Amino acid sequence: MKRFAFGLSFSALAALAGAACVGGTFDPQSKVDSVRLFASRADKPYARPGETVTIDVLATDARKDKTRPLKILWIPFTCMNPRDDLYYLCFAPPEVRGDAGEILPTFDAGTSTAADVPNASALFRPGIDLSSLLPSGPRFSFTMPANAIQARQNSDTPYGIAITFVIACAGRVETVEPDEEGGLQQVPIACFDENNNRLPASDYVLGVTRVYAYEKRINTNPQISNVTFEGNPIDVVKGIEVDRCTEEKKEDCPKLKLDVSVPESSWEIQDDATTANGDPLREQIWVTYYGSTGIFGSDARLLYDSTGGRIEGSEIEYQAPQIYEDGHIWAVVHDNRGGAEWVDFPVHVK
Amino acid sequence: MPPLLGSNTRMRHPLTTKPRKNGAVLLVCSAVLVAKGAHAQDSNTGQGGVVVPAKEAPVAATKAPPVIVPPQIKSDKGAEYPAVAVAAKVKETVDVVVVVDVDKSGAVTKARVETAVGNGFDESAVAAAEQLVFEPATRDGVPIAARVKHRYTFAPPASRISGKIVTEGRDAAIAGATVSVVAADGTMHNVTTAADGAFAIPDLPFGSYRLEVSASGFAATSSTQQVEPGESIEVVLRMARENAKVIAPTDEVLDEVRVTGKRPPREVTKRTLEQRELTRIPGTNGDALRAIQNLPGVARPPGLAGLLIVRGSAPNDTNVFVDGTLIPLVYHFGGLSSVIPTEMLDKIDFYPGNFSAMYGRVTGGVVDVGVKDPVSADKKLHGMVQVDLIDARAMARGPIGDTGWNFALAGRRSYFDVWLKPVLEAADAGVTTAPVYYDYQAILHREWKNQSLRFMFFGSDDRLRILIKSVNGSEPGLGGGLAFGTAFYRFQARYTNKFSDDTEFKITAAVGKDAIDFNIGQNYFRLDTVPITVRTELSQKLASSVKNNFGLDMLYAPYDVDIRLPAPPKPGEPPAGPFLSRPSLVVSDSDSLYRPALYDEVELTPWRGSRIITGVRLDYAKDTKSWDVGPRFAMRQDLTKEFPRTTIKGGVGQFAQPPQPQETNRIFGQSGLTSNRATHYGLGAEQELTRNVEVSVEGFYKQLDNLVVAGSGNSGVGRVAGVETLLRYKPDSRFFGFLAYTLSRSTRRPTPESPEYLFQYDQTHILTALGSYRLGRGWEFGARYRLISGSMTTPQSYGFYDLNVGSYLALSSYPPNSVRNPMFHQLDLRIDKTWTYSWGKIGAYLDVLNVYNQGNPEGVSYNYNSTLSTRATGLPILPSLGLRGEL
Repeated sequence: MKRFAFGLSFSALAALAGAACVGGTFDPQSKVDSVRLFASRADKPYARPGETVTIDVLATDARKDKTRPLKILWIPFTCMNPRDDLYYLCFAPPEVRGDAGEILPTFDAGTSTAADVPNASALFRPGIDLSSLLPSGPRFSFTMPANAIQARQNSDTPYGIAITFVIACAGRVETVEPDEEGGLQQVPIACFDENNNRLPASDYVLGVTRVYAYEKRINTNPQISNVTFEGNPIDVVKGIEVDRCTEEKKEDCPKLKLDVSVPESSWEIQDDATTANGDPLREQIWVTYYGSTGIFGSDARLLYDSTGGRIEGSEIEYQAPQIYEDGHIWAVVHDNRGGAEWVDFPVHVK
Repeated sequence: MPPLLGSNTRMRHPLTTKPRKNGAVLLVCSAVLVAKGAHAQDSNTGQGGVVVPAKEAPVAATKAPPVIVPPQIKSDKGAEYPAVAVAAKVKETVDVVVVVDVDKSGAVTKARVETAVGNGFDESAVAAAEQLVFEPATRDGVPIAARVKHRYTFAPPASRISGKIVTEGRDAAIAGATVSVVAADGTMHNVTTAADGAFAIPDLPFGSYRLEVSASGFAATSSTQQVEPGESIEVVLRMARENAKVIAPTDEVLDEVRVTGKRPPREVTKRTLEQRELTRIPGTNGDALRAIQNLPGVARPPGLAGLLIVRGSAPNDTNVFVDGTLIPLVYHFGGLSSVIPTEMLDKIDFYPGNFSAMYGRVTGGVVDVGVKDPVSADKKLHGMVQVDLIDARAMARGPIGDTGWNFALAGRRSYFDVWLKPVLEAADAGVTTAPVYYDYQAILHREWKNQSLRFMFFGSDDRLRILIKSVNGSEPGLGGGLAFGTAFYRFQARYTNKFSDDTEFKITAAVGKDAIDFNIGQNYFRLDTVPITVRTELSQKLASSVKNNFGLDMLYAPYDVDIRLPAPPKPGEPPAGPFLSRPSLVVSDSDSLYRPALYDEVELTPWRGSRIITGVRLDYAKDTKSWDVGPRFAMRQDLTKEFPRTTIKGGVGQFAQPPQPQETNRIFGQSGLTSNRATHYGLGAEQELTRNVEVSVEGFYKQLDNLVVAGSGNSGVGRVAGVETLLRYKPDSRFFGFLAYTLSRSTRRPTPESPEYLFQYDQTHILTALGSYRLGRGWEFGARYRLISGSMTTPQSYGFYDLNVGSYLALSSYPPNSVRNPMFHQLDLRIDKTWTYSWGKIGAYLDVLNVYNQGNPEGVSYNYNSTLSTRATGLPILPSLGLRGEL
């Protein structure tokens, strides 16, 4: 060859190609210091028409000042099949909600009494204190309507979706006027204190949960077989004891292994679902951690991959706080079809 | 008494400051006192003689006749050839006799013409005579006053032809070209162009000349020029490469890569970036395709993304072709590097709008990448190997024996997987296949006298497979197995035939495969396509000023697609929950796209400096079972014949873009769709300021109709309006640079009744200033500064909590894109140093991105429940050091 060229370049450009954006540092979702809803658990994540479904929610109040007690309130209506499954259309007028959308009054309100449940239009009228009208408590039940299952425009599998809303509020609940130019997605309910001041996000959460209805498909909640701390099973009633971190820097605190085990029997096959290669597709299962004390290495960990199975090394690192305090840890296991299970236990810092 | 004649005064060329001879001038002296004349010498020239007749008091006859010595010219600055005469194109030789009174000191006291001839000759002669200085006349040795006649002869001044020889298309100088200037009588003057392509032939008699230009590797060209007396004309002759693709035998031209705007003769806008610009613009990393992102009308993509956002259009509204063949992707991993290395490129044609009818199926812009034909002027093999931290590439090309065929082979493989795999594993990701990419090109090419045939095989392959163990709290479905693979290849054949000076034919056909394999958790998208494309065009010159281009542009693409994904949300509607946690839709289909098109264009050049292109394109899309008719019109008019060139230009046309396949898919799309439509309007001007500096301004407006909106059919509309300006200093031996500014506004409405909102990629102001200067001794310094409106963002706020998946559902403000991030501004610098040795060269460079470490916002980052936010910033200061050697 007459001409030969060679080159050597030392460039860090591509190294940062995937990390072009640098954002701020916030407290992680796992840090709990406010009113929180963590998860819901329906006894039948996939229900059949006519079946009664009971939903439990996991909530806590980790505020330091609990002058106003936390209330768990349910909107006693089941929103059935809003257009495109858009939960926020449940609060929209029927012409916006779509032909399929339907608000059904729910009279079987579980542990709460439903005798005084107002109708929908009255409930959504602004300015009414709903605190005493709404069913309260961590449990709520409803009956899946007989006509819940509907054909879907773009899916070969008909299904129904029942959406319910729960409010964790350390105050008084009222509906609020929607902004006419604010688009479809608006929060119709707010939480107020005794002086009619709107409370911040730390004092209320508006949760949405969905229960699907299929003719044949079945889904059960995952099970938690074991929780280990530093490799040892823990008694969730007694909780765990950890030494206070005495290091100056948080990042130097000892990293303790915390793990949640889910049996392989919970890794269910998804009916009629296959991979692109035609192999059966199973559920994806993950665990989400929350704690009122200490620091988690990550908020959530994958336990089972849809095709890869159990994930080895699913434990997370937990660092004890630098102060003496007692706290709590919640671990919620989800599957990707609405199934859930949880465990919680106290943490004693020595 | 008859006048006595002197000779040889000097005249000044009317168009130069340098005095020049202008033939003989006669000095005529008449004297009352002198009986006989005597010759005197022109004091300035020593030529000719003067007889001085006296005009003094009478002398007694009885005395001996006095000795009379006529005045002698001591100083004569000559007469200027009058500009009036030049303007009047006086071609005859003109004599003017001036009567001059000279006093005893020899000074001229008065001068007047004897007989006026006009055209400025009289004034010029008198003015010249008044500047004469004499040795005074004497009588018996005593100085006396005298009157003399002085004749000025004005011969037509010489003419001059000069100019520059440049390449057609990008106006690069051609050094060493032979310019022959042939007069009507056959007299020939030959010169060779200098390094900057310049030539000059002075001292030409007026008349008609034929300029014949020849240069190695270029088709000979000629031009006939008429020069008037005293006229100096400058011409710029553009030479086309032989058979359009013959490469000149210099390294610089071998490596030539051009980025052009619309390519003659169907252009509205033409811009050229040369090889030096492409490789030395700071921040582009020497990537030719990235250089397009600096041009006016092209918005800044976020981060290092390789998106082409042209005149307010979405990235997928701009198609990229390789020599007319559509390719599915331009960059490895969305922006890391181009799928065809810069070394393989011959040119890039960039059409920001109002493009020719030969292109269709898009409403934004078109990029057509031309791959270099492996023609070797020296009939020898050439090669290149380059290695850097990201990838290694090699290329070889040359002749195949004496067969007349030439070949090129090139390949590239990344190996940043070597260091990225540990990085990913440290981030708690299990890595099965670390990111890796390949691309490859193979070319066989042969040229005959009027024909050429080329076969090319090229492709690209990107792969990644990891396991994400840490689940994202706001999008739990993003955990698990992540597999990503994109690959394509094309086998392309191209044949051209120039049947005659009036008829040309070209056909490009390609067949290949596109494969996309994406898997995340339980969702996947798998697409295999076998696209077959044919593009052919017949160009026929119908008359001296009329040319017709008729063509066929066909796409047939059978495909297999397997998808399992949630339904995408509609525009302006927040999703029903975390995207990958919603019920998935599943589709497994086999179908085909069939999209044939015919077009015809007529190029008219009715008068000098004009070019009018009218065309129409007829498209059919089988998937929508609809026809689209796209009439188009473009024009250019040079307002000046010579330098500095002034050109006005404009165009209007209708463009159609069929829906994307997923938009018509029976599961993910909707039925009854037709094509998106756009009407382009453009009007502008170009002005040469100096030989190197040119400014262009173009206003554009796009009306978008019939836009496909998910769930709403073809209900969308939009508008884009703007102005592009470019002040450019074309590369010379020292410097290149340009200042580009675009002002634009791009809006959309999902339905005509919806409120209008700014488009996601709208950028009001885009200012780019860049330049590079050769300091000498192998040093070169370059800088690029950008000042660009911030990107659009949709604010979020605290909303709902999804109990099923454990993540907050933020409220999105309505309408979307309601807030603009702060202005982006960034300075990039580059320093190059080259050492030249007898055996080759070594080069080093330091390229520093974001020199003053500006934290430019690329978006907004929210905490887990959207109660806190901060701006997500882009790349920090990033130095890059490189070495390169050549043998």
